[in-house]
Amino acid sequence: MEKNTWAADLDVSQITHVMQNLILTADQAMPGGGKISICGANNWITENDKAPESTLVAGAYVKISVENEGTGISPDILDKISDPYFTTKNTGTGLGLASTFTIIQQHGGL
Amino acid sequence: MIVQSILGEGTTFELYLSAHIEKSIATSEPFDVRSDGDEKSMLPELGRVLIMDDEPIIRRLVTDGLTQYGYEVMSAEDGEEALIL
Repeated sequence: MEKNTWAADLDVSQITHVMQNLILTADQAMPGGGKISICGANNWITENDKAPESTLVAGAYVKISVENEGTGISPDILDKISDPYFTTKNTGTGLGLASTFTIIQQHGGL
Repeated sequence: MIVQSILGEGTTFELYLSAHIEKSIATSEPFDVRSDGDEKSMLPELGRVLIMDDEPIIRRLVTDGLTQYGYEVMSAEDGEEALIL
């Protein structure tokens, strides 16, 4: 976390749910163990930075990244991981990452 | 949320949250729950807590958090184990 990271507008319990899901996903992607890195940084997003299809409004954002050293996600399923009920795990519900994507969108974030 | 992944090397999830700049300038010190007296005083008197969750990492997160606040924490994977405790 950068020392002067901005405050962010968020619902604490929903973002806690998001972080738990991302850490859980990272943990489960590394059956043989590994490192999970979580970073926070300030980010100005201008109209030019945005992807044309992005719904993000230009402005100030706090970027949180959760990185794992796991097995990785195959490119052919990468666009499906936000779909409800899509899972690669035998006991998964497919709702963990789906709810994560929805919460971030409802926060007006990306 | 932006997801970048390389097979066999790992995955990075990036999320962007709308920043609250005015508030950030007003409170230039980084936010720290432990130094926040109001938050702590809202918690009930210290006691013993039983956590039940089937995910080991969730049990650990909650246990560590409550232990930091001074609670005595026990954890169980399921109802059967909780009853034994």
